[in-house]
Amino acid sequence: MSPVFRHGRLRLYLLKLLDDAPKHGYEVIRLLQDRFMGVYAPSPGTIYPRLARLEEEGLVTHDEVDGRKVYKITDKGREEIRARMDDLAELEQEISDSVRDIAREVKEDVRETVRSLREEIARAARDVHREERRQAAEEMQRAHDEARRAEDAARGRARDQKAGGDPWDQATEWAREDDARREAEQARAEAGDQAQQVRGDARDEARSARDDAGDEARSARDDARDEARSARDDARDQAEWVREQARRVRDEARRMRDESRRAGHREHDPRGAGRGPQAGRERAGEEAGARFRAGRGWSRRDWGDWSGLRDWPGWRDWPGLRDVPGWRDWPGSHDWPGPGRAPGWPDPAKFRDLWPDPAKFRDLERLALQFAGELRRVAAHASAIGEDTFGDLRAILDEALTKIRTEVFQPERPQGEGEPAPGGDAAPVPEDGTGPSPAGSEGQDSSAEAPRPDATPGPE
Amino acid sequence: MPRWTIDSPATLDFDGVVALRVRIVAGSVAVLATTDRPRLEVIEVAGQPLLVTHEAGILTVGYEDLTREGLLGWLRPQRHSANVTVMVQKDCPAQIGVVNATAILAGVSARTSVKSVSGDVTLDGVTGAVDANTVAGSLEAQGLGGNLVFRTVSGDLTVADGQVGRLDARTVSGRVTADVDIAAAGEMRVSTLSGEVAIRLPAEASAEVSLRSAAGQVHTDFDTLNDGRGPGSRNVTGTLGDGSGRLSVSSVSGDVTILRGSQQAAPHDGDGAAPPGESAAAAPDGGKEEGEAR
Repeated sequence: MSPVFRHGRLRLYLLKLLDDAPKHGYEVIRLLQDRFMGVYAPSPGTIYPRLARLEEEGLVTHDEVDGRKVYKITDKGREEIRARMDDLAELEQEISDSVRDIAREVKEDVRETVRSLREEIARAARDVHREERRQAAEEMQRAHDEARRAEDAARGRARDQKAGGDPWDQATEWAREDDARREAEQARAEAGDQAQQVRGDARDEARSARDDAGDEARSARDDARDEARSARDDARDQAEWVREQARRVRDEARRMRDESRRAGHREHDPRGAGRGPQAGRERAGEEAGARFRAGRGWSRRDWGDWSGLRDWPGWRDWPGLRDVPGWRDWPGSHDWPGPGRAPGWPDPAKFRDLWPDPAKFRDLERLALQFAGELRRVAAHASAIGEDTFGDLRAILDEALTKIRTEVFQPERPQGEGEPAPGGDAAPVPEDGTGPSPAGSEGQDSSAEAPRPDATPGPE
Repeated sequence: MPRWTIDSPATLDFDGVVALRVRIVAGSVAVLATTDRPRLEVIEVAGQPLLVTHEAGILTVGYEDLTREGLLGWLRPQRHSANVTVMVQKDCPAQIGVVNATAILAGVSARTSVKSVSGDVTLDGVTGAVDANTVAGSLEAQGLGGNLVFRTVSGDLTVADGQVGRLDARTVSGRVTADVDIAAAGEMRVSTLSGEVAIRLPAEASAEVSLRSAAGQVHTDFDTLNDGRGPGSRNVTGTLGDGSGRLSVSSVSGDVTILRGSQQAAPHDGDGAAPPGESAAAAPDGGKEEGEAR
């Protein structure tokens, strides 16, 4: 209720309204409402009881018109008004003042509402902005992660290439690694730029930054994958080639041994003498010549560490390439069986058994290699290599070998190797050819086989 | 022609007013809707006396010189202040011109035009068509129900609890803050140079939405508007609900934020099918509202 109507004042005002003209209850309410510009609307529950009380006091009376009570003031009521004229004037003044205040109240009311709305909306907007900023930050983080992952992948690839790559093409690998690193750096730099851009203004750029960085990372990863694949193919080719060479060397060695043994037999065999040692020498010479030629070709590689081939990490660690993080989705990596399972690839375990212990023979081989080198140098400086040069050489080497066997390795023989020697003389062991002597280079076979009496051509 | 010169507080009653024109410099002018007889209350006058005429049903409140020299002639250092309240029928069209006086409109439903230099404009429960122009004056509205066209340089527009048929706001640097629902086939258009725009629509609002900002940022938490765009994109178009209304906001450098209000249906549901406890709790509120003077 309006503070204007303190106790008894609403009663007075009702009398004043009825003094103007007889009215029914609803009209009274309407008039009050209008007088207060609609901001004060007394309820029927307020007005009707008061009218009833006035009627009890005899100040008003009512007539029934169309079933409604129309109240009108009585003489007693008019007296009451006259008696309280001052009060009424004061009330009128207060009501006018309160109406004047309406404009002010409206303004304050609206201002209040509007201010709270503004704050509320500003807060909500801030929340939305913060949320979007958070999302943008996540985008940025994701872009960073993407770039870092690409870089890691590239680095991992480079590392794996270094670890498992072709030992002879290390330089190429390094170059590739550099490329990969540069790619990764570039990817990171570009992603970083994008991220910078994002941070700069750029909630709005975050999405595109992520896309770009994603593309960048993806292409870097693709590049890395391609690189890895080609590197792997190269390495496999190299391995293939190495294996091929090993086989050839082995075959060569076997042929040479067989040949020399046969030649030796012929020289000592009275039946073979009919054909003459000359023929044997010729053939041996041819073979040796072929070996020399082949050797010259091979020498572009460092065959000195030939036996180290077994230790070449790529043979074992090669499948590790597939473990590079971020490459798991590459389907081809699963299809590739790895060297251990590749068809025609010797089982590493078996291989290890067949292979001579490198620690044991390394010095020997080095010695033999030095000898071979010397021999080659001598041969290279020789003005003419005649047909019988090789036969002579062969004879000298045989003698030397025999001498080595008897003088250098003699002390060990009686224990374990005394017996096979005569057996080997009687029937050259055919399995010998398949024996493990891939370490043999030119001239090396003789020395490498020095401790194996069964392989020696010279019978005593 | 009835004519009054008023230099002290006074109240004038009129038989009928079919149109209203008020031009004052400083102070305040309030136009309130009433069902009673039209009345002018001059609450305060300082400086030049007010000239009031009532001719052919047109009530004019102003200064003698204003009609001759124009409004700008009164931009003198001397103080001409008046505080007037005009009560007219709610369907009485009004034209109000002020320099730095505040203008208040309450409950009117007729066409109203307000021109102000730096005075603020307040609208309360206005359901008519309002055309407001200010230079630096802000417009604050509550319970807006009709059409509003507001043009300003640096004034802010704030609309609380509005249901607009048409709202067209153009500002240079003024901010626009609105909590409105767009009526079916209604249109809300806001364009600003550098003002921030924040509009809150009910969650179930229905409108074709087009938001553009050349250099500012556009934000919204309406998911349907966020589909297929990154955060902070500067162009957002989309449809809310069945797209019966239209909302377009264009800004050069101001940020645009469209907020999603809470479900408006919720309170109605509460009224309709409220558990006994809730309706009991709601009842005193209703009673209080009824008996409460604002």
